[in-house]
Amino acid sequence: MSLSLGQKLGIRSMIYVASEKIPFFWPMRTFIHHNPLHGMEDLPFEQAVQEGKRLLHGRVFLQRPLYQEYLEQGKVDRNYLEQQVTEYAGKREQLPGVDMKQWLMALLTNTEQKVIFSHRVASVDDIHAAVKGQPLPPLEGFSASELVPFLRHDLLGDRPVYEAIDALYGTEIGNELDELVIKSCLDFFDEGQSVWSMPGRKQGFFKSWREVANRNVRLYLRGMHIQDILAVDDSPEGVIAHVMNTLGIPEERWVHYFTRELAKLHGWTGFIRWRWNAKNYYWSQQYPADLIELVAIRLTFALALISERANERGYKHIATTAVAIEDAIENNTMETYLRYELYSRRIVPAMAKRVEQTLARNNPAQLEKVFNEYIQHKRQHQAKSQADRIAVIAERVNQQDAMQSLSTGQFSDLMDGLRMFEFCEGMFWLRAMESDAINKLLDGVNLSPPKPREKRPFVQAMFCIDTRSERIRRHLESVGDYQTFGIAGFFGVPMSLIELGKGSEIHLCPVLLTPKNLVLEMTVADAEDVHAVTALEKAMHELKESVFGPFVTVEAIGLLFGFDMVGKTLLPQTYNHWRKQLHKKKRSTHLMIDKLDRNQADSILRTVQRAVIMLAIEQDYGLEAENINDDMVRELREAALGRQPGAPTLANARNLNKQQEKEFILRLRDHYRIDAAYTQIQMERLGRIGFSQEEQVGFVSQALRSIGLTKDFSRFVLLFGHGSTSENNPYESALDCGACGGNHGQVSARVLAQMANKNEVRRKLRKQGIDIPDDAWFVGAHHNTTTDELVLYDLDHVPSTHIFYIDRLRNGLLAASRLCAQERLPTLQLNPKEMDTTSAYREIERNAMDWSQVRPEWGLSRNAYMIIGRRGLTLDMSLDGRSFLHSYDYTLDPKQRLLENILTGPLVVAQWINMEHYFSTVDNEKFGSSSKVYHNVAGRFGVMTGGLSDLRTGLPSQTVLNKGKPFHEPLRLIAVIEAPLEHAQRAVDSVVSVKTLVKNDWIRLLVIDPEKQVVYQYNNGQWDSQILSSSDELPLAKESS
Amino acid sequence: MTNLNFSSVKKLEIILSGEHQAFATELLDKAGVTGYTIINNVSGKGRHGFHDGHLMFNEEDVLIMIIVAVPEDLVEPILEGLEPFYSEHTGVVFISDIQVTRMVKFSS
Repeated sequence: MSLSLGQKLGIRSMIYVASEKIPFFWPMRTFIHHNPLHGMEDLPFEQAVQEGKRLLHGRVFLQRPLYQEYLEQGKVDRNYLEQQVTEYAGKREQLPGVDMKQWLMALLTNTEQKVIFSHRVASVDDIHAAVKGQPLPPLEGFSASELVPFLRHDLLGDRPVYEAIDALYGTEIGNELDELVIKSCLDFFDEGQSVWSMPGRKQGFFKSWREVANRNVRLYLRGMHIQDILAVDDSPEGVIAHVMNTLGIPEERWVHYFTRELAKLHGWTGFIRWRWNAKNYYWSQQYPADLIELVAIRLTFALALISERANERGYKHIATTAVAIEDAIENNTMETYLRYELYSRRIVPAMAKRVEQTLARNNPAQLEKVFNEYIQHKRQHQAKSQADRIAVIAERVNQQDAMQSLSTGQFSDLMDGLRMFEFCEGMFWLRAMESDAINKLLDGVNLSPPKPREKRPFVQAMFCIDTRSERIRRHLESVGDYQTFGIAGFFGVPMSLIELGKGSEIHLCPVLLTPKNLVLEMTVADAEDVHAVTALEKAMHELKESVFGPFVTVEAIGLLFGFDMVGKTLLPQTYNHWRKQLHKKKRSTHLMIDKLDRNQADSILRTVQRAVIMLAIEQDYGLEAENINDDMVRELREAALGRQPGAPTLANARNLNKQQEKEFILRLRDHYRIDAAYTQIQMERLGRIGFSQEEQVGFVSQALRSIGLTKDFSRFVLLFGHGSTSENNPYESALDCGACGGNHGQVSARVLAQMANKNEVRRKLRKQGIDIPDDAWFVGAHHNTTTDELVLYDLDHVPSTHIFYIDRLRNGLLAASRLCAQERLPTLQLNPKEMDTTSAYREIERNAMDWSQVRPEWGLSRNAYMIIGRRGLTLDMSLDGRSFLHSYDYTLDPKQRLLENILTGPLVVAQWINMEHYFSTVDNEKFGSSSKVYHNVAGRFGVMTGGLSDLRTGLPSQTVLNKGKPFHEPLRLIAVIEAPLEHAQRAVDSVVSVKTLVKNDWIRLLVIDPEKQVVYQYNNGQWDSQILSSSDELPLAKESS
Repeated sequence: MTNLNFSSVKKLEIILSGEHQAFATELLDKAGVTGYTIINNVSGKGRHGFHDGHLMFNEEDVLIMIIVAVPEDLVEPILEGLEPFYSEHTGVVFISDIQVTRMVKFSS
């Protein structure tokens, strides 16, 4: 059976669609916070969480006792909670003597356990009887067929066949299948962690796996006839179709079935999904893999395992296909039901042994007898448990009599009311928590217009919107005349960076973007080498001379110029030694941000090519460097580029005949890539380096206008990127700057500062109305969020007029750091005690260096708000490190373009971070990655728990929990925009992704209109308004009596 | 001037959200298509409203159009391949008859 092209493409498409609900998993080197339910954002939040719960089997709200604790701690708006309950109760029919609101409040605030549980067997009559203390009514006309719909729902549909088989026969295929798949993944995707690597990986996931699986003697001997399955078709699509058809799944259910299969090991699925999408990822290019191959492998193993079990003693009669299972449900209902009860562990304990024995016997008469007995037992059991739980509430609200007097119909209503309430309960708690958070925020905001300044601030400082900036900004503002702003941590300049001493590019921008410009980091050997191009040329020249230390690694050159020279064979030994030294003392560096002109590019390329040719001669002919002269190299270059026919100097030196000479030239072209066509590509690559002047002006202008800083510039304008420090921490990147793709932000800061300090750039900005005075100097800087250290860069470029002020500046920064450490320390310490600022600062530093510390800092835990507006709005209040802050001045943004950019970038990133924390908190086992203590690094890109598990996604328990209880308070991001309502609405409407997030309640949106002094809240599809009291209003004077 | 030989082929214009570009191009590659053209920053209106094309910070939200010329026998397989995708996502495919002069470039 061979599939047509159309069918194959259709299967690929189905799997693509099926996988969309499962979130990406980025390799942990650049940990990206993301919403685990990102694939469901087109659904309203309330619905999406139910879907997420169904698919990933995770809790999507906290358990009730935790909410009750929050209520006690004053973190839940009790009034709002009661209001919701009253509303809910009001919609239901009144039952005589029953005050539904009281019942529900008692349930919410006084009861720990869930009251209503699902019961298939006990009927409402039964429960009602139990409540009244009466014996159960006789079981009439209960036939097994009543159980069929329930069994069909649980065992068919998109439930994988092997799961249903496990649930019916206790075969545990599911666990074994997961193990086999995980092992195959670990083997294939390894990125250098293991010593032995899987053969044939270049052929791709499925092909290489096939080879190994076909020859795996152990599996064969076990009876897993994988070869038979694989023999059906060469392609993964063909294998998939074969297995699905064998299992009897109708095609219209395939997509859902695939989703369930992929969701089983959602970490690995997410990783493969990400990897397939990351076309520039080295490992993906070397060893390609996609989800179709994963599904094919998984299904092959599944079918093989099922067949193997079916051949084992005691299992020869089991149903092995969906059709067979359906048949068993319809025609052998009693047996199927009892099996399901037994192997899914819902069996009434008292009857467990009897049921087991009966199932083993295969005697229809006995089966029926035991079935009826079981049903009776179960009824009793369920009715009593359920009745008890309801009675507890009745007692609490003192309405037992009323409850007992209800008719069965009314009692059923009561139960329905309770059940539906418990279903919606999570949302009620969540909204009440958010209401409290919103109230607290609105209590503290200040709407008075900014006071006019007499003189410009001493320093203006821009920080990333990250929540950790809020603390340091507050403290900095308190130690002097410092004005602070919030901006996305990459300062709006997306760039790729090749760091000094590294061989790969990193993207310093949100993952939603692909940077077009490349920046190189070079060392500045001496003062004259300020011109970076000279430095680069020099670097190329001294490529081999590692005694002086090449500035750029060979890998970087390989990257820049496309030479595949990761070959250690080309490198002298001392080079490696130098490489190791580099990390120990990072010299001051220079960033190359300007475009190369044609001549410079030519010159560089020529130098590189010459260097490569020299290496080639040395490698192939063993000539020492001293014996290779310039003429030789020049001739060879010209020959390789097709500009002259031969290379006589070399030929003579090595006594080569015409043939050998020609061969070497060809080798230079093919192997070493010195040819005309390739040169063209290399020139294009060099063209990526740097930013054109228009780009530089554009980025500086955009950044300044987006935060509303276009005049009254201070002497110092500091741009703080941020990053963290920790030891022995695979999650290190999670603590770094998300806006910079999980990296440190100081390079972006330095780049923007460099651009803004240029005279040409400032001249053009003046034409746009942004007048930066000559005595304003931009400085790139770094905020270490683990230690709160503030470091300034490139101080050697500061004009002499400013040197005088640097001491004062440094002192201010240090004071702010110390105050901030003092504020943060209590949250981190096991034994809190009062500390002065200096000791606190030292203690926090020590904490960062401790490699056994599983919690170097709390990171973005407890994030709750995002405020887009002037700093004046929140200047007077402490937000306790819980808010993202983006400066914004709507008066400078008449067309809302700047606001749109803030919404589409920073707001979306904040939402991702917020949702990641939310789900990792409400269910750390399923959505988070549990304790770091049990983590083992897998393949160098992820972690597993224990020796073999799914790739763990989300945040570890140490980030969001404190001693088992949530530290992060899970609620949806409360986003505030300071602008007139129509202005904000227009911006939101123009950005489809944000509009969807708002409409579907993924974020809570508030708009504060400073002109009208009104706050608007988006609730259930409409805007509620509320007048905010101005902070200038005097309290009413009390009348003295 | 050399003689121009006109050959009839089918043109597919595939409009979909930019975030699915990799999926669509891979599907075309697997179908054996020799090449395609991508037009970025496409704006348009569908049943869900108007999509604006200009976003600066987020490349995933914009629409794109992929133009590909294929021999007739590839049309149905490609459409069959895209069918599960379009069941869940916005976008359209237009099929038209066009002519090309260098047929060798379009057949694999």
